[in-house]
Amino acid sequence: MLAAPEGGAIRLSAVTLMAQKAGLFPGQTLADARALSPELAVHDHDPGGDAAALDALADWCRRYTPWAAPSGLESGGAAGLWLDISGCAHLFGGEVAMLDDLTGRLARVGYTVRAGLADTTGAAWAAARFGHPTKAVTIIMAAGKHPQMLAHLPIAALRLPPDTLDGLDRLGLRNIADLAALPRAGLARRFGELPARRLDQAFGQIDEPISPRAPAPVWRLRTAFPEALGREEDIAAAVRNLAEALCNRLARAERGARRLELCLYRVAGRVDTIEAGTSRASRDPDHLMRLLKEQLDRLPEPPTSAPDPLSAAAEAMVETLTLAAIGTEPLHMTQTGIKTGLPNDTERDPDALEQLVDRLSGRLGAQNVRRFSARESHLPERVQASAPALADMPQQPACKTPWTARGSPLPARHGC
Amino acid sequence: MPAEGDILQRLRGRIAAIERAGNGTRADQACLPLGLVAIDDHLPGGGLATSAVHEILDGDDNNRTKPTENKTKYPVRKRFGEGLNGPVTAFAAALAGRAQRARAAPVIWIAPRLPGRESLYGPGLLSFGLNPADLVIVRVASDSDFTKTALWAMEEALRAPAVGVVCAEIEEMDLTSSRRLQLAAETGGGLGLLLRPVSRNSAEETALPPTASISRWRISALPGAPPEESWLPARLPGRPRWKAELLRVRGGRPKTWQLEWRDDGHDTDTGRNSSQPAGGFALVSPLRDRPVPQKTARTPLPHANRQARAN
Repeated sequence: MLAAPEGGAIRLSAVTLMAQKAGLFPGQTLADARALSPELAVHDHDPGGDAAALDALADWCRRYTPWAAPSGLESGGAAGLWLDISGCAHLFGGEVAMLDDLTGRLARVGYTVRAGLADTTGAAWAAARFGHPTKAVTIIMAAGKHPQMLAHLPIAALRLPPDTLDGLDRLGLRNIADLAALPRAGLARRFGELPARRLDQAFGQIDEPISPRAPAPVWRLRTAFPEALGREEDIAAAVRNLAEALCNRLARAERGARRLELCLYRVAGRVDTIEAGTSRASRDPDHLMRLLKEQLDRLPEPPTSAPDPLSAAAEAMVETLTLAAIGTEPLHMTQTGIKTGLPNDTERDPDALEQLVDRLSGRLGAQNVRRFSARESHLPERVQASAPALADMPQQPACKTPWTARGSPLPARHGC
Repeated sequence: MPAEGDILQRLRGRIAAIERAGNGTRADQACLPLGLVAIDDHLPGGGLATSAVHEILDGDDNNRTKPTENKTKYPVRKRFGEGLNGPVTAFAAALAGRAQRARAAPVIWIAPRLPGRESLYGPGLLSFGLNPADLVIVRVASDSDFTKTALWAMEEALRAPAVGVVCAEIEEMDLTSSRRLQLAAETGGGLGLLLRPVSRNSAEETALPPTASISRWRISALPGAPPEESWLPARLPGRPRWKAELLRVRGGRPKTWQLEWRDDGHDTDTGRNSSQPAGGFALVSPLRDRPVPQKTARTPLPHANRQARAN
């Protein structure tokens, strides 16, 4: 149950199915609703959060089709998702199987799903919302038969604004069939061109394309080899090529990688995944390569069922590599210095320490590469805390007593 | 006709060059002076060679020292895995602090990971001139892979040009590993300090496997100096003192010094200004029989002092 202040009163903005059965409806004041059922659980309505969740869900639906888009709250009625599954359904065993899979997965996560499937966007929208009065079912409008099915649906299924719906209702028009039978000219004069356009869209007379959400850029590169690689040097060289290409792409976007994921697809069907992190965004192929190489060298020997060492080695060969920057951050171009090449060129690489810390953290864990930070305390053992190795440090406070360098201060009996 | 000293000098230079060529040491070897003329003059090159690895052995034999016999100001390592003894840590911190200031580069300290506490204490290091704000601690799990991992970390750190000093607490060391470290140090140009928690007497020192380190020191604790403030009881700890034995140095002779740490630049009230000298080594004259000073009476304690003034 969600509620939000609206017009001087707190009104319900969304209700659950159980609350609907208890006689509550969106738009009711919270006081009335409380009078009807005192045990209401009310939460604040968060439209931004709803939109973000819907976007995330649209991204998730890209597992079915790349053409997934949220149908915003502004289109009237509850928000939903569009999925254009043209040419995708057969990958999941047909439209019915795909819808079953989709609704099943969403239901397991805790969503109540109403899905509609039809030839046109408008008809699918109507089918999902008005297809069956109570059951959260999957409505399928068979190709070519949807005009008959649409005709029985209420006019509200046409995605019209509430005042237009009110007007049509006053005229005694209930079904889409009633509306479709009217002459278009008179309809347009009284209600604008929207009802006629929605009718045409629902019946497929005019096109209504959906625009998918722009996907976040994926920093993932893949390379496949005509013949699987077995030698470590070859694999390292291939990874190096990928790293250089990835760094070029990152440089064009002025971004740097924070986390890398390297997947090695072996002939035997096994995938080895290597992750490496950097403490600051980086797009230096040498540095990224060193981080990956460090872990590449320490990959455990793969378990094998092969009878002899030769076929075990064949199974461990790598046929495809993917390298992805799963975490990136903006990293702008900076001039780090001019290399003169002279022997007394003491220009120090400013990233050298970061790169060292990354390599140490990669093998030992970031919690083991630390720096001391000072803390205000009267207890000597508490004046130092541990901070990430590249954190910016405040100045160490002055130390008054002759502490030893080894952990514990002097015993009190020595006197200080 | 050049003077005899000149000829000898040139001959020494040529021999040194030949010796260096064999082990890959650069001819233009930079050195880190210890700031103490007696030692710097004795060391070839006028100080500890940078782009090199030096070994510092822990000279305090804890296995034989009973707690009651520990007269030094340092806490004693109870068992293996608790890190180095205080004197070695402090001596290394003093050296690392000098290099940190000279090169304006961070210090990496590789130590075993201790359960529940840090192996190093920042304010303590600060009093030996090592600024803990520019120190990166690398903790290595003390399991069977400790030596391997710590050596790897030290090599990586030495290879990085951004690092001034790398201190590592590694007990086991063989010629190959130390050779790798030496080559890494020559690549990166940093100073490597290998802190080895071994406690052996000098007879056993020769039994240590040979290493490629440029020098080998053994540091043990001496009873601290009496407190500087004359009104404090003499049993209170004053300046720390070490016995620094130079067991071996390439191109030089072994020698032993008694050193004292003077942290004069350390202003306790305002915090240290980084431009000030952050303490330094000083020689201690060895203990021996000497005439008793004229004034033998113990300095009275503060309250006695006040009473004396009131009267």
